[in-house]
Amino acid sequence: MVESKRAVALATVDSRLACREAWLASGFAVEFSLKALIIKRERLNAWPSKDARPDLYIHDLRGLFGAAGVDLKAAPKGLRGSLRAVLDWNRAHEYTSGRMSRANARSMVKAAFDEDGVIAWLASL
Amino acid sequence: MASEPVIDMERRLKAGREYHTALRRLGFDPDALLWAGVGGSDADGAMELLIVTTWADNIGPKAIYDLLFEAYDASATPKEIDPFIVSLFSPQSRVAIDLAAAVYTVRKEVHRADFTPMLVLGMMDYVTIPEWIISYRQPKSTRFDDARRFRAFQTNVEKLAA
Repeated sequence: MVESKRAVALATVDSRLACREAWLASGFAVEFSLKALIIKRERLNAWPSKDARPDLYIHDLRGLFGAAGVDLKAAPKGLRGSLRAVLDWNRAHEYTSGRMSRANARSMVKAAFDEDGVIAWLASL
Repeated sequence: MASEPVIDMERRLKAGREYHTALRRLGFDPDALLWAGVGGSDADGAMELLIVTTWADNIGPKAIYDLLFEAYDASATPKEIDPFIVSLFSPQSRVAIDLAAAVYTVRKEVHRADFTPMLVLGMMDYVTIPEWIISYRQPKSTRFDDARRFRAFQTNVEKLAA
């Protein structure tokens, strides 16, 4: 799922018309990475039902970092700017129609997908 | 948003003003800087320092956040304001558009000492009041100006770390 979002992000990030899709896909990829980390750390064999774990049915990345047991303040120094940038993501932005600049979208893609970005770091935990 | 003890808010406002001064000294002059409660009326009192800047559109937030952390590490900005509670917004964002409308409305209203308007910004995520708005101006900047000013900010921050 992360890889399909990466493909969407890379395909749309340089488009004036569609760069918001890159921004959204990057945030979803971070959300999926965090949920994968929760599964790993809690030794679950599947994503729990909403009845069993309503606390995990959120799209707020700050909340998911907490649920995954990741202390943002303990993150590597060089990663903090990227971490802070991805925290700006909110699924609700999918429903807004305002213009987004390509620099803004590129910034989110870089923060999420760079070799030293948030997704690679989450995969290393 | 839970009610804020007055003394805590006074301390936050002082730190926010110092943060604004520190950023300007380093070459970053935001279009708006304000405190806001997070998550509307149901949240637990968490607050963020919101910054509206055309740099979000012309430079991109990550590079700005990187420098805010560097400036913080170098003690060039107040220690009370960890950049994890600072949020950058484009003037095109819902939050900034709502803020501009709120400021316009508040400035047009006759001041009433017994009434503090509650301003809701961006899909019910943030709540503020006029007293928490530390600075505000109509954003007007070109990509060229922003690139030049951002480079100066970057140089100043990197000098601190050297």
